[in-house]
Amino acid sequence: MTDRESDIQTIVNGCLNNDRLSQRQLYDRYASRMYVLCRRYANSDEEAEDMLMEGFMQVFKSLGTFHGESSFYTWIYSVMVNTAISHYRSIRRFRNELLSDELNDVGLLGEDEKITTVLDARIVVDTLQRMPENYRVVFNLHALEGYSFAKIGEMLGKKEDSMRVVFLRARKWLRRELGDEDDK
Amino acid sequence: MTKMINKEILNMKDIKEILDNYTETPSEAVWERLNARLDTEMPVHNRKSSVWKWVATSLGVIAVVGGVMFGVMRHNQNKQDITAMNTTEQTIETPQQEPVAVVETSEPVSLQEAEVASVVETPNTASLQTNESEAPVKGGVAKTPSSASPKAEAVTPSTNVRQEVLPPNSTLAKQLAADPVLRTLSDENVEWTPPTHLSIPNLFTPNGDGVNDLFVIEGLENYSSPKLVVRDKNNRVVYQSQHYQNNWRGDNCPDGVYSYEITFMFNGIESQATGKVRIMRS
Repeated sequence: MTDRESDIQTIVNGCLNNDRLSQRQLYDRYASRMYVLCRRYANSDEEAEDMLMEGFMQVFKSLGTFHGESSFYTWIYSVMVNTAISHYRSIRRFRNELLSDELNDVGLLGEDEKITTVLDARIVVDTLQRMPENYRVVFNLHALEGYSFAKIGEMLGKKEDSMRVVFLRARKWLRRELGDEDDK
Repeated sequence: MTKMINKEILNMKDIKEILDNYTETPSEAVWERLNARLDTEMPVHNRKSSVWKWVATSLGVIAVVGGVMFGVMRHNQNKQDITAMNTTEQTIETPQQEPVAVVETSEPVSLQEAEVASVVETPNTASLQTNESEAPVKGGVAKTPSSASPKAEAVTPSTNVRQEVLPPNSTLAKQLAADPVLRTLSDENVEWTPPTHLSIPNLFTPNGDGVNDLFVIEGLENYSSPKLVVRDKNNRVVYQSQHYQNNWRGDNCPDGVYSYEITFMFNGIESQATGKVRIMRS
């Protein structure tokens, strides 16, 4: 999906003037894509909706700092990811569950393990929502947002290596949940 | 509605592909709640406003106009304002005695703010430039920054001048907070970010005496992922950290002046503060 720049600029200008109609237009335009993002980070649909609302508040409040260096979609996306992460951090969910002996498990999974399944996006999102939350945040940030482990460690105040381990465990978990029978 | 993908090998790229462009509509309740919050936090002032909103808005306008006037006054009569500025400064910000140079990093969000900012900030900008040029002074004793800065002038000069960096979007908030009269006027009507600003020293002394041995940026803990890059005179990077934790002690850096670049996130917005710092071991 691409946003015609002049078009979005008009809406953004309206929002900068605190025009409720423009705010609604902006919301309508991005809410459904951002909602999926929030669902991926949240424990429940209700929590995802809280996140979405919080994220849009943030978008409206900080719109003045958007100067078109990136596409608007990229900007709003990063505001949402940051909201999701602050939300996550604010409720202090990240427990130090990762013990050193877990490091030994990592070798069990190869990069090219196979899984045969028919998937649709809804199932993937629903499954992600059931994922243990410390796995989920790392999985989202790395596999879907494309952040490096170093960057994720930095964002969450954890060690880079731990992030790698959490990710591998998350992937293993996901594969099992998505029905890879062979993954024991 | 949903994209079906039959994959022999499920890797992370596939997951991304499956989710790309996938959308789900949130319930209408989200917009309703958002709308309600916008009403309280960002009230619309041109339609269907209640009387109270009108009152709040006009007080806000008075505050802004007052801010402009205050700025002009301050510009003309630096000395008169010194006492007031100092006392307020200490109650709401870090309780330190060093002279203070204020640098605004954010772009003002509205035209009105822009006006206030340009008037009020003139002296501050001047003082920052002075700091930078004075940092390399032999012996490291930074003089009181330029007479253009009323705040700095009022305090006893010391060797350590800190650069103050405010969080983005707080230009107006800061000015309101700094002024005792405007503050009482605007307390309930203008939302302002608590001053979780950064305070960056222009000098530190890593000689192992336990005093000022590290390059400590106060307030850094309030921001996520602060990055620090330090360069020497030849613009070579001598230190960098992707998550700076106030622990640089200038190892392998001879005494001298270095320039730093701090990048930090606040509410999803990236900001940057730059300046110069002197390492002085003896």
